Amino acid sequence: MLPLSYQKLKDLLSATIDPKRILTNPLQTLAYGTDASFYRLIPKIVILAHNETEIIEIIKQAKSLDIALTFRAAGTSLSGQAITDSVLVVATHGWKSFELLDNNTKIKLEPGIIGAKANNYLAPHGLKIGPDPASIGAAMIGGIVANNASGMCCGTAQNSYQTIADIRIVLNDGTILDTADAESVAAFKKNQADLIQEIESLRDEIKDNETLYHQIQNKFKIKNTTGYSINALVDYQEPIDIIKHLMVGSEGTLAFISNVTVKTVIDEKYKSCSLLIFNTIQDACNATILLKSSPVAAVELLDRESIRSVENDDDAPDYFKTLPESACALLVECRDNDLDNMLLKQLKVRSEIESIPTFSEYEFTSNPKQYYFNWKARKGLLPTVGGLRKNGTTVIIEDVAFPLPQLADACLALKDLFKKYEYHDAVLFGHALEGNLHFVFSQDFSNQDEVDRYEKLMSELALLVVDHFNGSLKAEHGTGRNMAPFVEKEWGTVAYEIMKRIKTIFDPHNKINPDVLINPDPRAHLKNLKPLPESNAIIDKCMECGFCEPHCVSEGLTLSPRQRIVIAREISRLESTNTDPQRLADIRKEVTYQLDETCATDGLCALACPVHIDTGKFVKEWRASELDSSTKKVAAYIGSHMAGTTAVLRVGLKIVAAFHAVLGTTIMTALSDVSHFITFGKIPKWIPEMPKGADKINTNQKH
Amino acid sequence: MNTTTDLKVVYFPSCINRSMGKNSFQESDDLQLTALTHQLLVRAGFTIIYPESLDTHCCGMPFSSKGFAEVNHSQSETLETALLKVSENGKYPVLYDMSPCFYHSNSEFSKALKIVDPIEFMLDYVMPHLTIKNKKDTIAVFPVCSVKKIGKTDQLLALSQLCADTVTIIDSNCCGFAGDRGFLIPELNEHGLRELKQQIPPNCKEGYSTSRTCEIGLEKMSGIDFKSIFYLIEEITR
Repeated sequence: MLPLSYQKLKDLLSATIDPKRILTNPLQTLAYGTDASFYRLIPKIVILAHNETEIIEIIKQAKSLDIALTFRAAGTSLSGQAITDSVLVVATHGWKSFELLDNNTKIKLEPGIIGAKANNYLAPHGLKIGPDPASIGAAMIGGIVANNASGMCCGTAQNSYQTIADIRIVLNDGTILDTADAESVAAFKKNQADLIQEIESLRDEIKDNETLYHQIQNKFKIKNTTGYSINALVDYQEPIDIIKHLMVGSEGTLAFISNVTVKTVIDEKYKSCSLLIFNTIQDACNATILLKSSPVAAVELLDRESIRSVENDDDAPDYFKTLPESACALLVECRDNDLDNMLLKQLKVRSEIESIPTFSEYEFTSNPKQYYFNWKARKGLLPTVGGLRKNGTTVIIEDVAFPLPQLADACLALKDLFKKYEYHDAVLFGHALEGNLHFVFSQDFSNQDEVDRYEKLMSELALLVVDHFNGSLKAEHGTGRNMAPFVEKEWGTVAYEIMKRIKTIFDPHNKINPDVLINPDPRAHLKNLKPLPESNAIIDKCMECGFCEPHCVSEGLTLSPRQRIVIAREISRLESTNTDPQRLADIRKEVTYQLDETCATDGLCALACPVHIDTGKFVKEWRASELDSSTKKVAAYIGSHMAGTTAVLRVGLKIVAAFHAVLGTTIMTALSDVSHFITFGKIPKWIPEMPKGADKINTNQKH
Repeated sequence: MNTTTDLKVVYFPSCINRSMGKNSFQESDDLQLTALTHQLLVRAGFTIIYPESLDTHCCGMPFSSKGFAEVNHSQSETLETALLKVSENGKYPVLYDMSPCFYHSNSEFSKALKIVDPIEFMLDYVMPHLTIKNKKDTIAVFPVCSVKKIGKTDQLLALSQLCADTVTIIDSNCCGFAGDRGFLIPELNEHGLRELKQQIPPNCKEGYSTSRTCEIGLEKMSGIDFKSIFYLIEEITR
């Protein structure tokens, strides 16, 4: 039963939004409520919004009922910023329009466009969008911008903050600001004078506080997504420019993003990379410092454990297995639109780091096989840990950044930290050129000892990153619920107060994605942890990253592969704990159509899955377990009488075609609709395109 | 590869193509696929051998899809045995006329059989023996899931480009027809192909793929003639 105010919201919204897109049943709210983080909150209502008019209506009605809203696109974020126990508004289907502008120097994108799709639109022009998160094949523009997501090559120069040209947002009272539209800007300035004034006073306060001003400038020299993008208040003078840039990285806590216009960047035609092995982490980090001023597109670091996790790959060179324990690799990428220039860049890299010995000779390669292996080694690290982890555990990816001169010391300190807290499967890698390191490890959250161990790790990590190295606790994954308790620790009270005021300016009643980014609870990162119970061997390794979703035919109709797995896990949990028989029954009521019948079992999901899970295969097992023995006997009979079956099908189809010829399309469709309905879908529904029967093959024919 | 003096092939027509006939765009005197394939192979100089008791064989996939794992395995094993025998233990290649059946057998079979998917067979075995006489202007081509899974979309494009000046590869996930699912849960097919029509150029009236059941849904959702790429090859080399 929905609480009264939520029921009222549902009733009110049903007048203008198709009730089929207002979801309240336990299966769908759980399925859509799940994102790629290791947190779990189940929304009371999920609304699949299709346009801005609907968004404005949702915002206004929710405000009148004092109900909190969370906006979400693909749900691939990792820090717990896209979940809620109130109302989740999903903006994916219906948000796919784009427009190339100003001679392709800009592209206007709606929030539901997948990053890789945006790049597909730009590819014919030799262009791409700046941000390049590893999740770009699934992550959507709304989230990419709202999290200031970045990746291997974009650094701090081509992220959403730097490349945003314009934005259209809906504020908490339904007001629209479209920075690309002079009329909208003028109206906004007139009607929201108080808001503008508060932004200006924040800007001026920072300018008057020299320490704070320099702190902000310094901290954004490296990647940083801890807290709001308050560099907007330092980098820009005009309030509209400040608002535009504050929205980048605001994690849906300030407003809804209807569309963004971003500046496009060049996608170089020629690409090459080399895997350089150094004797020590210090050598690799020192080389990175030298490479900072050389023409490289990316420098990725892989520690010894990272190399070990890919050494058994078919394409891995043999020497991977015999590298010294202290070794460390750098994957260096050079790109250019001109082949000769790219070769020159490679030479420059060589001469730049001449002074630092490498473990072995290195060559740059553009050979697709080697090039692909090098990057596969780097990109495969997260799934390798994810695939090897114990069932029931989650895989955690941390995302910190350090000033480049301290990178080597920071790497060693982090490795000591894993050792101290016995995270033996931890691997360390990352975007070295930006001082951005990721470490991935498996984590059990099913018992208190393990939660305590994680808590200690996080507390000490905060000390290490902030106090010892003046780094960022979240470089590119966003603050979410995971790092919200540490924003003040990283920024200090003065800057944190500024951030709280930003939240209040845009969302005075704390109803837009509350508890994300700004959260007063010092233990918020340890609450609402997602259970990952064992369910079926085929799906137990699923990390719920969502990379499969764009490749699924039933996504948007019923469930995606990730959502099927989420539901299967919940059923397993409810069955094994027997905690809520009613919930189990409610979910079971919907599951046959949602999980089973609408899965095409085509297995394309496995191609996109980092750990190669074929959810279709799982659904086939599900079907097998749902079959009763009499149905199995029928199948066995058909199997042993295949000749008869194809004959029946041949004749059957011919009869249908004969009826069609006599009765015509309309009447046949109507007739079959009835039989389709009364047999619960078991009789093939007749459609005009249904073929006629084939003639029997004469296998004796000779040519 | 066969030598020209011993151009033999085992043709395994899928149970779908053995039972489902032509589509609604085809004329009454058009050949059904199995007969057309036979004619095409003969034109390319092949001697065709069929497995014994052809009518009893199926790759097993329809059973596997519905969760009947045991029937699937027994069907697949029976087929494997029959194909081994008729191909003289793998001496001759085995042509599959539907990609999904090839994919299924390829992952089920354990013996040293040379089974070949429809795209590779046409590109590498048939086309070198034929002359293209009347290339088409514009066609649409749908790479079915099993083509993507074996990584043959590029080969499908190459084959199509031998046959037509302009080739539109349909960008889509699974079409959602999924064997008989398009009959049982038509909304899945409608959802899967909701962006199909807008991808087909206005002057394009012919679509091709390598799976008969997918073609039923493609025809329904595009309103144009969708059939096996074998028909295309037969027509342009006639």
